[in-house]
Amino acid sequence: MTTTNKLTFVILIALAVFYSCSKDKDPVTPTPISTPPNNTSPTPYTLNIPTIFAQTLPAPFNPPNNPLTVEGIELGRHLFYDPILSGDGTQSCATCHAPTLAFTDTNQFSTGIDGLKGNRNSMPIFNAAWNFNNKFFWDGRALGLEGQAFGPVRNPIEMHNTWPNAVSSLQNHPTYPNMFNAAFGTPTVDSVLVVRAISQFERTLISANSKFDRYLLGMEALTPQEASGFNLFMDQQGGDCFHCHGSAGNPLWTDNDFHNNGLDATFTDLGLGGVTGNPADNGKFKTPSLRNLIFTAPYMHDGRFQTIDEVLDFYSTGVQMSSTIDPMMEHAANGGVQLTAQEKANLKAFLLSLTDNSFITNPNFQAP
Amino acid sequence: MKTTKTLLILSATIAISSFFTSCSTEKGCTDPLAINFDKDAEKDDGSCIYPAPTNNDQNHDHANGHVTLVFNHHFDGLPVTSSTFNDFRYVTANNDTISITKLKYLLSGFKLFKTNGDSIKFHGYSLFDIANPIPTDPHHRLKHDEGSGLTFPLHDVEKGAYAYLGFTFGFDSTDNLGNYSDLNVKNWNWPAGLGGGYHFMQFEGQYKNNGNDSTFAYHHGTAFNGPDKINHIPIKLTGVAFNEDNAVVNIDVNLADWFRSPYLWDLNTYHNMLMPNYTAQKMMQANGHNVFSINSVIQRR
Repeated sequence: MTTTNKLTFVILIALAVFYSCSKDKDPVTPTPISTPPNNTSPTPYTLNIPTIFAQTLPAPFNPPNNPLTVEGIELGRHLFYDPILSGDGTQSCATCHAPTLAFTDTNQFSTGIDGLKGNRNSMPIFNAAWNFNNKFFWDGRALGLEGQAFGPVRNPIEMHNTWPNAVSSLQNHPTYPNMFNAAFGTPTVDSVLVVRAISQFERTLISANSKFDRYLLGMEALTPQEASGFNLFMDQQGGDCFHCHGSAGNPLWTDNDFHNNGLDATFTDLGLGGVTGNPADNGKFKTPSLRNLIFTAPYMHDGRFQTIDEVLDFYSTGVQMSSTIDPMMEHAANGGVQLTAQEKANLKAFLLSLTDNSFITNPNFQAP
Repeated sequence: MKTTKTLLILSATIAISSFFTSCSTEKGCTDPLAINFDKDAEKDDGSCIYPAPTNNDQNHDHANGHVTLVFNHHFDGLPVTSSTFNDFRYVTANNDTISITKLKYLLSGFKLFKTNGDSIKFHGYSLFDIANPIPTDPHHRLKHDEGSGLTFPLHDVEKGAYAYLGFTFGFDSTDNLGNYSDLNVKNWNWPAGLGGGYHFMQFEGQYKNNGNDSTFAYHHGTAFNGPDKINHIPIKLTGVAFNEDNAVVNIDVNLADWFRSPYLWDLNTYHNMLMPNYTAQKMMQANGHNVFSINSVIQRR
């Protein structure tokens, strides 16, 4: 073989190895905060914090690199409802997160664009700006609303798109580049800006106008059944719900933390443990809020319970021991809190008093 | 020629295989708030770097003293951290073998006492959580008087020679009437039906119950169901000498003492439903006096 050919082979191999994963070897540069090139800046927007939250909770969290603006929220609302983000243009975020259902759907598992079902129940979206843990999904694998929004678009069993493809579709759209310019000062669409806009919209989804909120503010009275149900909720010897699901002092009605609540003796879904790799986290899932339950059936990470009655039966006599059962499930060894039929009815009445009808009809949250 | 063909195939194979094998799941920092956020990363590799928290203490005069309290946890000498969780490695005075799954507790009302008996009080409280020794959540800016992880800073300490340190385990009855948004969102409330206010401690784990694994939930707060409801623990630690100039006080927290004296703790009797249990609450208050002690003081000058 000639020297030239030998040299060619060496160069070819060297180039191949060098370029094969240049993506991994590039230093990661921080995403710069874009400064508007023209003279119109987006309009800052301040969340309207409900009185009950102002009285009890810290200010909502907003990441400094994604301040809320009118234009950003509007863009986010458009993107949330636009099937352009999916691989075949048939599904938007709203397909599985519908406003009239507190931003979930009625399925146990939702179906993606290819007709494939997921393995976890679609989660409702409200009060996310008070999730100071900042971990999202049932297993906490995403950091931030921005981090969460990257997932479904490229998930093969959900919207099954690629981000370059989604970005390209938005770039070639007649109006989106202008909306991105208004929101972020650049008409160049980028996946980071897409998730920032969607997150801004999601932060505005606030639910704190239930009967029980009005009761706490002295504006409405509870029925005797609802009051009795709330007492049970707060009683270690009753329903024993407050350690994970909040109280009058924590009107999020969740601790936004991860627990094994005794659903199974052995795990088919590792939950948090699948993300951390720590066996002590196996079978732990994020505590959902108890607001708006009437809209968000079915319940639990795998949607196994179709009704609130089934949930109460489970906590009463269906709790299973396992290696990571939460010690705050103090009645687990007895199978649960052993509520009578009347007690379950009262507890259910209290839970239903956390329904916020104004949330599901709020015109600011609907499709454009 | 044969050799050329072979070399061609070989180099093509190397080129193609190196392209595919190195480009599997991309790891990187997946937190959008980090300085080195990588939007293409699909799996977090723990490399996230965050900007330093902003320091709100603009009036912090370095000439004023600073004392840092550091809390180190053990069980009769065996270290306790979140990495020793879920392991049946501790044996109580009652011969119960236990594992620990959670330790959170509230300290407040910090005081320093000078050798002449004068005391100075510090604002603030801290909810300690062994699982979060250094808060990894970068979204919280520390308030002036708020502790960080398992330490508590005492700012603007007057010049002087100090002989002891005091603090309240939990909240005293005045502080327990307060409304603290950060404790509310951490779900730290104590039910109104048991006196309201806040938990003082949630100490949880498992113990061996005739060979079976049972859980314990040692929750301490107001002792509502009896005459002596006030149940916080005033702690006074002596045996140190330090001045205000950048002292670090290392405090030992011996969790074994929760189970030992004056009440030998039988987990079979007292492992859950302890919040409304007056006897259990008063036993906690008594035993807790022994848990904290000074290990050492490091003085900068």
